[in-house]
Amino acid sequence: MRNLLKQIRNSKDIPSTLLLAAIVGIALWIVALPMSATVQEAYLRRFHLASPSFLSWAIQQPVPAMYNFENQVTISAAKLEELEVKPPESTSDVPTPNPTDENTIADFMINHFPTRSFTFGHTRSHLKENPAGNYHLTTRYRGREIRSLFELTPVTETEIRIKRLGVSIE
Amino acid sequence: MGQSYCVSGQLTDQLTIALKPYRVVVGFLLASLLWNCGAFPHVFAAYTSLRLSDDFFPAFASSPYVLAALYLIPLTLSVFALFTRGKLLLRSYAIATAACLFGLCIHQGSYNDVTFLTCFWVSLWCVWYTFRLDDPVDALAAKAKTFAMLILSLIFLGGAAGKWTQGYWSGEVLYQIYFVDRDFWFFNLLRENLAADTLRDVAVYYSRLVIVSESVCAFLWLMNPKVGSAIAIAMFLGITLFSNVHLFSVTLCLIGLAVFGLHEPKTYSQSK
Repeated sequence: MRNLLKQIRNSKDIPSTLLLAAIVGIALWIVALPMSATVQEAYLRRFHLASPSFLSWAIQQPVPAMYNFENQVTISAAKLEELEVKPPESTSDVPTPNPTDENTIADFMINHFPTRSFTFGHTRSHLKENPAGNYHLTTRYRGREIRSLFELTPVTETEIRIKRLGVSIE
Repeated sequence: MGQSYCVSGQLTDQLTIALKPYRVVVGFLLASLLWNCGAFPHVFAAYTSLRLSDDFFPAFASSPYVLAALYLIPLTLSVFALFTRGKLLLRSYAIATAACLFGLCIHQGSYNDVTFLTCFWVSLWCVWYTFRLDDPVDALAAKAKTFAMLILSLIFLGGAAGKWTQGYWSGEVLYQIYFVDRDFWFFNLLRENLAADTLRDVAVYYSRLVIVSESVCAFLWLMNPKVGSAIAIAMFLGITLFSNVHLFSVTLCLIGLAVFGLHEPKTYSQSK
């Protein structure tokens, strides 16, 4: 490592400088995760596709985050008004899911990105059979928690509309 | 052409020597992408037959046809890279491969698949390597090993930091994901032979072993590259063979980087 730094300094090696800067920058971001509330919120929002913009989410995607956090998915087949869990009063007020509700059709933990439960290829096949439903996602990390509620509604036989009903971070 | 070197009694040029281990890394990157190949037609069919309209992803990042292109271009270019000697072409292939793999990291249909994240980091290493092909062989190999160790450490650090939380330390997360009903030889064997309480205890030790070993491997960059590479290869094989062989798509490209770390350029003696 010392040799690498020395060589970069002596030869003005731009490709090496750029790669090293990317690695060190991302490593510092990761190391800050357990300590910084700001970094935790950025990570949690990233996992729920709830970053302020697509661009700010995309910039974070090269950060390794495999099997990160405690991710819970609760799927309900019922229409929202039929659930005991009422729709959030505001988009920042998502209630805690109730896995024992009779309308709950699945409740499970997932390795990362709980939104994959409806976006990813293998799970999308199941959407053909059960196209309508509410996805209540919860991710926890060291006392922080993000909850998101998504409503999936079939528009046509080949299209499902995803609507985010709310996201809350505590 | 660069300098000439004598390898095993044969006179050879610098580019030939530099490309040999590079092609090994590209070969492993290709193997990673190919490991996903079997599932790709099924996934592509699912995406074309059922579209998810979503305000978050822009149109290009939710199109199944863009996804197919982003997957097939790096596959093709990696094959070309195995047989190309032109530096400009090799750089172009490496840059295009990295760009496509980044595209897969932000596409609605693949953002959660860590295969593309690890392949992206290996492809960044490839971009860097193709820009340094004119460096003396020994210096290039030394720098390339250092970067390989840094990237491997970064991948482990990213995995470890997100597990420094109660749900993993208590074993609950991995118990729910793997131990309850995952149909895999290791977990089937444990379920068949252990009582429920003991299975919970094993999940705790399994989870803590994962946390500690990933955290230690975040410091591979401080180790001798040969030792670091050997540890990384053992870790990746352990993770894959004891949890999910589908993970070879994630780990093979990283194993390729680690294999580069085992490469010993001192066997080459400079003749002129």
